[in-house]
Amino acid sequence: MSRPRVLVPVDVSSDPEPSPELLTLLEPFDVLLLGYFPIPEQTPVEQAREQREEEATARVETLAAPFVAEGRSIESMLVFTPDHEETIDRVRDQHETDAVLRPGPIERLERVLVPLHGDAALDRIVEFVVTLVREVTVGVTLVHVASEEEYRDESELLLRGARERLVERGLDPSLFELEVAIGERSVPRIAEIASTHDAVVIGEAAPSLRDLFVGDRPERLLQATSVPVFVVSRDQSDDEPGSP
Amino acid sequence: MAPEITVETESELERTLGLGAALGIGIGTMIGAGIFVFPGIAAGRAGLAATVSFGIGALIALLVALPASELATAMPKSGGGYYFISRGFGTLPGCVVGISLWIGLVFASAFYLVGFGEYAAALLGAGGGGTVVTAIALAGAVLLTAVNIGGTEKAGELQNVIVALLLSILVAFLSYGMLDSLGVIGAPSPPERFIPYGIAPVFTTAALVFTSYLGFVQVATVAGDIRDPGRNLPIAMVGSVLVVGVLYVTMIYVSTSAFGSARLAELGETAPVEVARSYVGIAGALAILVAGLLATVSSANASILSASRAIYALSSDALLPGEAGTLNRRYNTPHVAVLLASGPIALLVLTGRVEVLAEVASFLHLVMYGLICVTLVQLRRTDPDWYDPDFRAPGSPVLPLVGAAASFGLIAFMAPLSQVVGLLVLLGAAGWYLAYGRDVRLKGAHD
Repeated sequence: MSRPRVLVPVDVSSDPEPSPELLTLLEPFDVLLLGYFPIPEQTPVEQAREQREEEATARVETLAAPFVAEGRSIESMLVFTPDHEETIDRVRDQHETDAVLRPGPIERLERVLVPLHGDAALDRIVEFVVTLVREVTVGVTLVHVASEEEYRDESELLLRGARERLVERGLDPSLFELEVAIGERSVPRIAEIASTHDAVVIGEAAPSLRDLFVGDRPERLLQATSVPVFVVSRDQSDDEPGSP
Repeated sequence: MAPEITVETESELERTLGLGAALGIGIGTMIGAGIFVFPGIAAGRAGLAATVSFGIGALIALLVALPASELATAMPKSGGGYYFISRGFGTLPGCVVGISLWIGLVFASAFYLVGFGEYAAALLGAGGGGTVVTAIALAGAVLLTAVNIGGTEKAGELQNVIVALLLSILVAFLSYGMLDSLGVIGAPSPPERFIPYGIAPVFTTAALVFTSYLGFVQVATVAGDIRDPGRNLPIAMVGSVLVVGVLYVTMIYVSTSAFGSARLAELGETAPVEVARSYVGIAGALAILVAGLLATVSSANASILSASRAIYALSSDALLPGEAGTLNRRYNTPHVAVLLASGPIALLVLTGRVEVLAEVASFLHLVMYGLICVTLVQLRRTDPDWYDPDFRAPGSPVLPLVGAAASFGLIAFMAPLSQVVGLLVLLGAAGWYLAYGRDVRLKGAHD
């Protein structure tokens, strides 16, 4: 199996801070580094490129340098864009990356949080966690948010099932901790738990009408937490044919 | 070894615009201040025949829209009219058009801001007081400058919401007004004499209100992002001119049916508010007031942005000093260009001369529109290798030449002061070319 590819978008309109832990976290993956330069609506994109390309390219090079120094596989691109969220989605789909890492500050790398949602993306999340944990030894907390206390048993069942699948793939059972959280709204609960972890792995949401108005779960979680989040891409072929 | 870095720029719009989106851009650029500010003034000048004046404007816009579509599919660049003329016709006409586009947008924006001042003053119940209007218009200019230098996100989406809101208010208001004036609701209003003030005012009014159609060439600037441009671009341009033309003509018809032109003239810039009040009371008046405020301020803002883009296009072709195109360190906005647009706007607002501001804006745009038509004929005649449009405008060379003649001809009906000011701008632009731009070789020029 080829190594999974992770898209790492970084804002290069100001000097980004390189982080050695990020390097470790990304060790199991091929990296596609996307330096994006957000442009306000008032500015023609070509104008921004004309004036800022040099400094932005230098920043992308600085970010890529440690990967290159270690002889790791990294591809870099720089995009001037008025809407970086749209750019990230486009690059992810065009290059078919397996996950997107939304970087955040990492101080140490000990525990990763994997919130489960009981949906179809589970296969891909499991696959991703297996790759990650095989090479980087970190503890994993599997969490499920139940809306009420009375559903605790079902949540535990789901979590144990997921752990079983991970252990079947050869991971050490002692790495895993299971946690059922109770809360009406899952995103704030997950964000709360995430604050005691060093990174989060979640699945990309399938498009839904509701998401148009409130933003999808990954998006809302990204806003609520500052730790780095891997958003595992959903299988494009899962989508209805003809849907965007 | 340094890694390869791919550098890309992302378009501002969805990658592929359909016909609907392109139509939206055209309608959104045009529907704005004109329809709210002009009815009183136009009806006061030409009576019910002001409907014909708006029709003449639409006709000229249509004649220019077809050649502009052809040029845009051959040169899908964001520079629009400036790009066509500078690349297709030469540096001197290009430079003159570029500078007069900048100044024309400055005049247009000042006109919209004064209209904004009138509507805001009416909302505050300050009446037609000149100082209040000027003060509010100036405050508007300062605010828009600050917003554009500070940079905004998602203002484009807000703009779409505003356009949708304006269209709904207008369609509701005009449908009600039509039903009323035809006697379906209430008593039928006595028909007014069609041409109470003679034929000449019909044309002078057409020259005045042409400002309401400025910006339809804007659709051309997205030619590169449009799906099937050979078909969709001309349909979008022609369609948006027709849609707003029908709205304008209906607005005049409804307004004159409600009040008669003499009373409309007295009401001046905010006449539509009183028309709405007479139909549906205070709620109608408020809806039109709010719509007028939104329309004038968003038109003013769009003009400032277009002006700053024209300045950037000129500076990137070295027809203006490079400093004009620099971006602000902190906000990454083109602060120099924004100030070069908004500074003169503030000065013009102080004059408070709505009609002159509108006419000079139209004058300078009409010069560009006429030259677009001439450029088309010129390119068809020389037929250079690179010229390969997806869409071919019908009736060349007759229709484009009629379009050019009509564009230049409309200028003849403007007030002498507007003509003098417009001419001075053109001469100034030509003088600038001789002094500064004579050695410029245009990038990507097709020789």
